[in-house]
Amino acid sequence: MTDLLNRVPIITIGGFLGAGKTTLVNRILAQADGRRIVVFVNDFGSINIDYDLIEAADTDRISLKNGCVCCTLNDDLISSIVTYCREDQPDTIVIESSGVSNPRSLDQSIFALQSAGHVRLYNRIYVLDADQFGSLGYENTEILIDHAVASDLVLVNKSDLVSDKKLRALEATLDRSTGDTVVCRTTHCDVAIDSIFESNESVRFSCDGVVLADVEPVQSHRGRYHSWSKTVERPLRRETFQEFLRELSGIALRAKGTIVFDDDPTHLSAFDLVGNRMTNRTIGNCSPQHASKLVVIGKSDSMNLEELEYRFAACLAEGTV
Amino acid sequence: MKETIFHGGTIITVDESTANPEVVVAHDGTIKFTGSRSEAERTLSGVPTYVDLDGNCLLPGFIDAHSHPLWAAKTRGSPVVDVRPEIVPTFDAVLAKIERRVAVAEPGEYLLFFGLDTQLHHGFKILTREQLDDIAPDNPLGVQTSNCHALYLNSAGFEVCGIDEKTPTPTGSIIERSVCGRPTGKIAEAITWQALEAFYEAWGDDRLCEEFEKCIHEFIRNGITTTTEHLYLPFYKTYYLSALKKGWPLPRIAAYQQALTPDMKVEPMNIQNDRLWMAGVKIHADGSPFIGNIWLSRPYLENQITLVNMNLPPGHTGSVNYPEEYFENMVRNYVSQGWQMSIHTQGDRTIDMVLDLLDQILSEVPRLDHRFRLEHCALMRDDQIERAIRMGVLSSFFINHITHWGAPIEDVLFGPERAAHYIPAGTAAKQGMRISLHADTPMTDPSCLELMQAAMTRRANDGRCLGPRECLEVETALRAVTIDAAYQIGKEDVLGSISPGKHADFVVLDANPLQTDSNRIRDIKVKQTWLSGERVWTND
Repeated sequence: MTDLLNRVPIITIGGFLGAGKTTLVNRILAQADGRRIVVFVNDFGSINIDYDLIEAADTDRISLKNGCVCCTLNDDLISSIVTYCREDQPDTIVIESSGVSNPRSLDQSIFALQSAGHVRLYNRIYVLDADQFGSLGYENTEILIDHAVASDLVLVNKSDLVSDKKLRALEATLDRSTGDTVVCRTTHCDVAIDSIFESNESVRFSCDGVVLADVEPVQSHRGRYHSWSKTVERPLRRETFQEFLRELSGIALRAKGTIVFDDDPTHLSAFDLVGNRMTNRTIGNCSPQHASKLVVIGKSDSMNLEELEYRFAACLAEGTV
Repeated sequence: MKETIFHGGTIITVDESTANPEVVVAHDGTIKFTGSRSEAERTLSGVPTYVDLDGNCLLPGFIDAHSHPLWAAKTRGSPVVDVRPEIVPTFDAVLAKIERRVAVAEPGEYLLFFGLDTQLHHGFKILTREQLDDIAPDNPLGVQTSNCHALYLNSAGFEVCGIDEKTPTPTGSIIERSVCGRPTGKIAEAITWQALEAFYEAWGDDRLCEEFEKCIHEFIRNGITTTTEHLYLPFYKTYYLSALKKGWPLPRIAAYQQALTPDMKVEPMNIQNDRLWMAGVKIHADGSPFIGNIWLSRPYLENQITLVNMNLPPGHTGSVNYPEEYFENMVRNYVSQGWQMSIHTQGDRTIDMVLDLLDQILSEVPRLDHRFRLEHCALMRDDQIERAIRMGVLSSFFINHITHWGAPIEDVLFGPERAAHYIPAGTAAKQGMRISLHADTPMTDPSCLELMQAAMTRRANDGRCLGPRECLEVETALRAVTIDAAYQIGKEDVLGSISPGKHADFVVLDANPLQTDSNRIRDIKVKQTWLSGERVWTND
């Protein structure tokens, strides 16, 4: 068995839908400073938008589709990690879990890998959307707190969108609830890279004996959340699509995608909807035939998939194929 | 119904007479044949269904010999808030979680929290009625300990449970009181479970049925095809019958009725060919080591946690739950009715008392095959194991104490010497006892693979091994969750191994536990569960 210090360190990034996990991954990659980093990306949908949004240069991106790392995909994740460690050892592995993952389940898989001598769990980061937190109900905020507890570093992200008073209240709640976890305010996940690669080293190196929680009984989130995704090889009508997103904002927990619009068919736009907050940006040039992709995640009791399908169909520009 | 032929994988029968068969044939819920494929195909009555194990491993369905599936649904099912230390790390975090729940409660809404842990919640302080009244003046509120044996209530909680200064303390229970008799917050042992019923009733039957179905699923997806309902009460039957009627994949249930008095009626029953039967009677001789309610020959260690958090006096050696004569009366009564006895015993002096009593009763009325059970057996001594074996008394070991509470057992409660023999499953097995293991759900989650690993490694969550001499061999651990557990519940003739004539209950695993590193047994995946020849769960 390889000495713990010489094994590949794993950084896990958890957080609710839209909290900023992908932003953090990109920030880590941008500051990789020559480290070879393998990123496992897990979207809870059949199209991996997060995967596409990761700005990879010399990075290996491994897409984990159609599930969630704490449920059905765990076997794939484990076998891929083992293969990487044996054949093509990177300097660091980063796992961005889906927005509905229970981080404790992922921990159990990584501890199993660690006890088998493959890796070491290095840092568990939880990204929490400070703005979204205030608009969520009791049940969801409790899930966020329970998940934040199971991490080494909590980033209270999007802190610029929240008043100082609210931030302090949120931080007080986290401080009281999390025991030893470090809590840190960020905007666009602007955390110092040193605090990710170096923090809690002493904690992690002795983590063979860390207390493992029992996995929550729900094996799959499929009952609680719906994920709807679409790929279309024709441009979308901008105004109709924006109307579609406005309607979605009251229903979906999260939606994101990369879109080609009929009024500007040579540029690819990315949108990201979290609650009722939307961001748009142009991410590059493309051909008019480039596919538009989007994924929408919502609670199964409030999101009607047939209606979504119907409304989205209205966004397709006519006369193009 | 067609015959089903299982083939294409390793088949572990846990029966030497049928070891390493190529195929297993099931028909009408029963195992018809084990052996070679060619011979099986010669005996077929029609075209069979082939089940390709695809290189996986077929074993008899697991048996957890001491559990509480329905009660687990009551105790831990929603809307009960989980505050176990695995989820909520400190005592202050528990209080914060309670406060947040109270803040969104409807006036009068019943609120329960499960999992307060005297040993594992850092910064633990004894909860008082006044403190809980300050947090929740308008809601009945209870906080149950993770060992299930104690409950802290606020004033509204005491009121809905019907407990006040005039309430006499029932035999076998504890109500902590002020000098004037007013309950101060904590109640323990049998009255805890009666008091909690007020909360469960307020939440209604729909909630219970929904949570019961989830709980059943937990057992089945872990490959457990038989378990028990220890602390069964007559009114539970409705819920079990309803589960069967709805076609839920209910594991087979050996019911052990809870005895609170010597005169309770225990109904003999066996419903739907061993799906639910009355196996015996359960009595608590003592309580939980984690709140000091067990009877010991040597006292607890003395430190901040035992003296302050647990509020034990120096030199505390505990006591039994019932006055000795009352307890004797109960045991004699149910033994005379012919029931198997299943007696909760944790402290060594309690075990002495129980063995003395059983010896006395058996000398007066000899009974050849009584299979009297001692449950949990935390501090059973070597001489008691020898004596139990001579008497035909069996131990069912709550081995998850080691994984979940190993550190405080050694450091805080009993010291290294006693910790090394705590839950002495290894000695009992070596001496020849047919032992069983259990998770005692809701105290810990149902998984026989976890039980096997816990018994084979005796590793606490912090990585330390408590008493390597007490570790089990893998074959013994497997028998303790299959054939020997079947023996303890009196069903070794129809359950616990893959043998012709037995019920076709199987589990399919993705690895052979007999060839898996002992530290990785719990990582083996349950692929399928079969009950009475029907596939009731698959992880595909």
